[in-house]
Amino acid sequence: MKKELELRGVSFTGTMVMDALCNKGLDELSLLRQFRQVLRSQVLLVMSCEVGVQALSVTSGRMIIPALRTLSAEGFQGVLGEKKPCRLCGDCLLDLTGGLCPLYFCPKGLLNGPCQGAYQGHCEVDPKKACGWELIYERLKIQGRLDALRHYADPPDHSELLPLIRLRSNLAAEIKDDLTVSSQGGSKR
Amino acid sequence: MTFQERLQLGRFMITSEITPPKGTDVSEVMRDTEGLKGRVDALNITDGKSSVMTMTALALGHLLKENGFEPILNVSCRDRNRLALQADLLGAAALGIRNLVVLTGDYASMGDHPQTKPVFDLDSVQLLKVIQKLGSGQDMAGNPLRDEPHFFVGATVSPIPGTEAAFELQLVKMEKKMAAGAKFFQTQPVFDLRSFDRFMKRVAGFGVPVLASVLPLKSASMARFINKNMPGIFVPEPLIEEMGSAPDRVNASIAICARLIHELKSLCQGIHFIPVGWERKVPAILEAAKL
Repeated sequence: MKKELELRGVSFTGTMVMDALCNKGLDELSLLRQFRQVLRSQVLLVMSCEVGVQALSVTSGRMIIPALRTLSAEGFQGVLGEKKPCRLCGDCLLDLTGGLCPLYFCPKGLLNGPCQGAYQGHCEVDPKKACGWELIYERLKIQGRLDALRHYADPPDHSELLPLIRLRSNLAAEIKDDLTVSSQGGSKR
Repeated sequence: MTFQERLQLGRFMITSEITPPKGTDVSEVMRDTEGLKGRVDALNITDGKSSVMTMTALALGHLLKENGFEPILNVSCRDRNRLALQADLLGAAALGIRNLVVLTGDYASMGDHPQTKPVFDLDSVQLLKVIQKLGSGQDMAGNPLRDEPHFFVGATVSPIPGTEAAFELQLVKMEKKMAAGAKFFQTQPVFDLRSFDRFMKRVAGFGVPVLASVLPLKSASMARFINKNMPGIFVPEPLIEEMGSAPDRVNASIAICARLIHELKSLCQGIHFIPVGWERKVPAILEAAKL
């Protein structure tokens, strides 16, 4: 991947392996340890699940590009997991939305900008919460990247939303095995 | 001449919206709209407005067309996935409905079936693109269509949404909608002409017709309710006072509307009535506004 990107004129200031990317404290430590190469970079290319992408977006304050398409978050969930939820859509837009996922922050899951329901910055669905798109706007404004709002986002590919189906079929297979074993055991008895 | 032809000739346009009945009896709608014949360029039929379940807009649009109106079908993204949306659009075209206004739709929790599953499979920009593709003879998945539907498509915009961020976001989304095929815009109700003027100056370069919505105030308390509860609509205090102190509220409301329309004529290319039950007063408003 590095070679391919270098051929296209992207230079790397370095690479780093970070442990438990969804732990904000550990992120800050790792970033500090290699702050020179981080400071020289314009963009951080992150190869982790989207929870890690969102965590690093907050801690680094830099433009983040997710390199992976997260479709599954089975296994250990990090400490930021609950605060930076990922809908596992497999079609990550976090680099264009200032690290804030519109599927999470907009109850309608709108990918191309807000509806017309916000009142003084408050969401029409839950007035106690801020309009997700206004948060995205403010974040991109700080990053000087308001142009990212002009990007057209394609409709989500729901056939990609497989984890649940996969999880279910895996579980179903396990249960079937269990049933076979216990019924064979039963017949022996 | 069709709605599209008149709009594209640069005429000052008048549309009005009508909400389908909750039930199967359309006689009241037909009576309410009788006075609008020949006075409006087209009638928008709302699609589950405020997430309240009513008859499908497609059926009422067809009936109003048979009754001599040119319908504009509102198409909301809340209730139908991409299959159902495309299916209804093919049906609309087969029934001779030519105009659409595409919108996101209110959230389901606002209406009378808050327990429902909100769909939002597509957003308004994505749906506009799908309509473009249908017009080119392919469905969203790229399958060929036997005769393609050609629609004249509009969209909506909130010209005074409250915050600076919301204002800029509305403009960005408006451009996205235009790029996706929106040929005209209908707005949220306008009362505050100075803010609306600011919006119109910003979109002047877009070169797209804007129809400003006009909502007749029924009382001062309705105006206060709007200011408190309805996003993107602001009734200035002098108008509320005028309604509150008027001996005849209906006349005062008609006079306010007529004045707004008079001012709007120099700001944008048309008006869109949202009469919320006062459909039968629209002709009187048009007379007062000398339209």
